[in-house]
Amino acid sequence: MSQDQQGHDEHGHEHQQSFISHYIFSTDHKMIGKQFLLLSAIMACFGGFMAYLIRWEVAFPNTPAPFFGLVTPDKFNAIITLHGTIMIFFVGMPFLSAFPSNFLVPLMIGARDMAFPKLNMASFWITFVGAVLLVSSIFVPGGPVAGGWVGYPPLSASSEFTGVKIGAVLWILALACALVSSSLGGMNYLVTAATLRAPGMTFNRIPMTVWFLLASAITFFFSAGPLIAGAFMMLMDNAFGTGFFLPAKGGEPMLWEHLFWFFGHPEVYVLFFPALGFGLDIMATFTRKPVFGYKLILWCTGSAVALSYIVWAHHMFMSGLNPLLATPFSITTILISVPFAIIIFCMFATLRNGAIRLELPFLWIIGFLATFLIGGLTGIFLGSASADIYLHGTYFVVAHFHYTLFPSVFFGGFGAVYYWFPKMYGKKLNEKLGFLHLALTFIFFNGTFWPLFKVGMGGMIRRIADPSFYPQYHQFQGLNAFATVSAICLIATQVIFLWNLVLSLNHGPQAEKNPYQSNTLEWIADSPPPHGNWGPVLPVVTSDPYEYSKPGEAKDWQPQATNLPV
Amino acid sequence: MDKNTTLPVLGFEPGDQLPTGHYSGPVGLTPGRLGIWALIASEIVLFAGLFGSFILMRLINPGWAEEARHLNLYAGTLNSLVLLTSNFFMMKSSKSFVEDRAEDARKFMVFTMLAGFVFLGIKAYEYSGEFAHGEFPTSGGFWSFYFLMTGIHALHILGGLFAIFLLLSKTRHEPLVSLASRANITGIYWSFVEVVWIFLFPLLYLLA
Repeated sequence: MSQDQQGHDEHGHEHQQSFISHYIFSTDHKMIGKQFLLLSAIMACFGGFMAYLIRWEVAFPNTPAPFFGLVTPDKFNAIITLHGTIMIFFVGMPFLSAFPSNFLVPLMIGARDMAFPKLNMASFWITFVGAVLLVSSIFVPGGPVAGGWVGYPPLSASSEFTGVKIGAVLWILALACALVSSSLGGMNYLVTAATLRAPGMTFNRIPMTVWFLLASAITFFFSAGPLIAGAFMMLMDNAFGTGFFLPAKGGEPMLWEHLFWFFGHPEVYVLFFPALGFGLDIMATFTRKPVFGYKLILWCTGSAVALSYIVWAHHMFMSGLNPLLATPFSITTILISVPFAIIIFCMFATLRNGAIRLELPFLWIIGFLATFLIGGLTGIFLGSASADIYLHGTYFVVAHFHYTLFPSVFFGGFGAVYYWFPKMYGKKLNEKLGFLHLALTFIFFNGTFWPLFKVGMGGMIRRIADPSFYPQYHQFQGLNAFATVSAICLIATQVIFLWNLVLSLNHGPQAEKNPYQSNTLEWIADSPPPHGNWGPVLPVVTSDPYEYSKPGEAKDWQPQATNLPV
Repeated sequence: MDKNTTLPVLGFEPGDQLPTGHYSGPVGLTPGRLGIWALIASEIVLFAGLFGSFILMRLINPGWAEEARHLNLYAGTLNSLVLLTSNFFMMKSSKSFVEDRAEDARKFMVFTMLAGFVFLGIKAYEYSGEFAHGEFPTSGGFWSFYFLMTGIHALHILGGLFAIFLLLSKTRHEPLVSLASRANITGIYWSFVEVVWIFLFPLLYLLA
C-alpha cells in the first residue's frame, strides 16, 4: 500500500483544504474528473457554435449567420478545422475518457485515489493549456489553422499555402498538449487499476466500465506515439521551414497521412469503448440481470484493440496508396466489425428476460445503441475500397462518422452523466427535463445527419463553403436546409440539460447513496464521496459486479462488498 | 496488509488471507515500476514512429547515404561509449541504494550526470561542426531527420538528468532505503534513453 493511501487513512473525514487546493489545483481524482467535465462542456459550446456556423453556410450560403455575420470561405475552412479538433480532442477525450476514468476508476475498484495524483493534476492542466492555445489561435494574426482537422500536408505544412503561420503552430502545440495529457492520464488509469484494487477485486470482478475505460486508455497509449512524432515534424515544417511533408523539399505528404491515421483510427475506438462500458453497466443495473458473456466481451474487446492498429489505411484509399494494399485493409476493417457485433449482441442478450426498468440512463443507452448501429453499419460500406472510392470525401462520410461519434460522446456520455450524477453531486437530476432532453436530442440528431447520407450518396463533396456556386448541388438545397434547421434545434436542445443542471444542483432532491440498487463499489461510498472515498476501512470485495436477481435470494441485488453499509 | 483484513467478512474466517489485488513487496509490481514501464512503452511507440518514418524515407532516398558520410563518426562512437559508461554508473548507484551505501550512491549519481553532460557537450560540438559546414535542419530530408531525432533524444537525456538531479537532492533528506525503488525506476528510464541511442547511432551514422 502506498504512502499516499496511508495518508488518507489517517486523515479520514477531517481533511480540510483551501479553496485553491480543493477546486483548482486539486489532486483528488473526483475533483479532477469534474474539472475535465467542465472543460469539455465549455469547449463543447465553442464546438457547437462552430457546427451551427458550418451548417448555416452550407444551407444558406452568402447570407450572414445570426450572432456572427457572413461566413466567408476562409473563415469556413478555419471553422471546420477548429470544430473537428475541438470536438475530438477537447470534448470527446475529456468527456468520455478523462472525466469518467478519473471519477469512476478509483471508485469502482475500491481505491482511495489515482496511483499518481500529482501526475493526474498535471494531465488536466496540460489539457487546459492546450484548450487555451487552441482558442487563442482564433485571435492571432493570420487567423487559426485552416487545413482541416486531419491537417493534410502540404496544405498544413507551410504558411505559403494558407497564409496561416502562428495559428498552425498553436494548433500543433494544442494537439501535442492533448496527446501528452491523454497519454499521461492513460498511464495513470492503467497503473491505478493494476495495482490499487481493493482486497478481493480480482480481474474477473472488475466492472465493465473500468475494463472499457482501460481498453480505451491502452488503445490511445499505443497509437498516439507516431502522431506525436508526426506533430514534431509538422511543427518543424511550420516553424523552421524544414520539408518533412513538402514534396518541393523532398518530403512526403503521405507520411503524415500514415502517422495521422495510425493514431486517428484507434482514436475512434478510444471514444467508443467508454460508451460501451457505461452501456453494459447501466444495462445490467436496469435489467436486473448479469451482463451476458462477461468474458466473451473481454476477449472481443482485446481483439478489437489489437485489430484497431491494422485498419488505418482505409482512410487513405484515395490518397495514392498502392491499390494492392486496399484489399488487406478492407479485410481487416470488415474483420473489426465482428468483435463489436458480438459485443452488441451480448448487450441485446443482456436485455432478454430482464426485469427492465425504463429509467433515464437506460433510455440514453438504448438511444446510443439505436443510433450507433447506423454509424457502424455505414462504416462497412466505407471500409470496402470499391464503395469508398465513390463515397470518399462526400457528406456520406460526414454522416457516417457523426453517427459513430455523436452517439458515443453524447448518448453514451449523457447516459453516464445521468446515471452517476447522484454520486457526483449528491443531487438527483430532474427526470422530466432529462427525458425531454433525450427525446429532442434523438429526434434532432437523426434529423441533422440522416439527410446527409442522401446528400452524400448524391455526390455532394464536403468542406465546400458555398454550394450555390456548383449547379449540380442545387438539388440538395432542401435537404441541407432541413439538416441545418435540425442542427440548430439539436444545439438549442442542449440548453435543457444546462437548465436541468442549474435547477437540480440548487433545488434538486438529495440523492441517497445507492438510488438504483446497483452492485458496484462506487454506490457504497457516500454521495458525493468524501476525500479518500471510503472512510477508515476499505471495501472488501466478495462477489461479482453483476449478481442481480439471484434465485432464492430475498432482494434482487448483491453489493460487491458487504463489510461497509450500503 | 492493512488492519481491515482482520474484520469479519462474508465467506472468510477472521485472520484469513483475503484475496487481494494489491501488489506489494520488493519484487512486486509497485505503481512506480508499472508506471515507468507504461511510460517507456508509450515512448517506444513514439520512437517507432520516428524510426519507421526515417527508414521508409531512407529507402526511397538512396542519396541520403552520401549525406550520412558527412556525420562525425568518431564523435558519434565516442558518444555511444560515454552513454554506456554513464549507464554503468547509474546501475552502480542504483545498487548502492539497495545496499544503503550513501556515499557511493551520491558519487555514482554525480558520475552519471557528468557523463550525461559530456554526451550533450559532444553532441553540441557535432552540431556546431555541421552548422559550420552549412548543414542545417532545412538542408534536406536527411538533415531534417538527423536534427529532429537526435534533438528529441537530447531532450530525453535532459529529462533523465533532471530526474537524477531530483533523486540526488532527495538523498539529502530521506533515508536511502526508502528511495531505492525510485532509484531503480530512474535507472530503468536512464537505460531506456540509452537503448534509444543504441538504435539511433547505427541508423544515422553507420547506414552510410
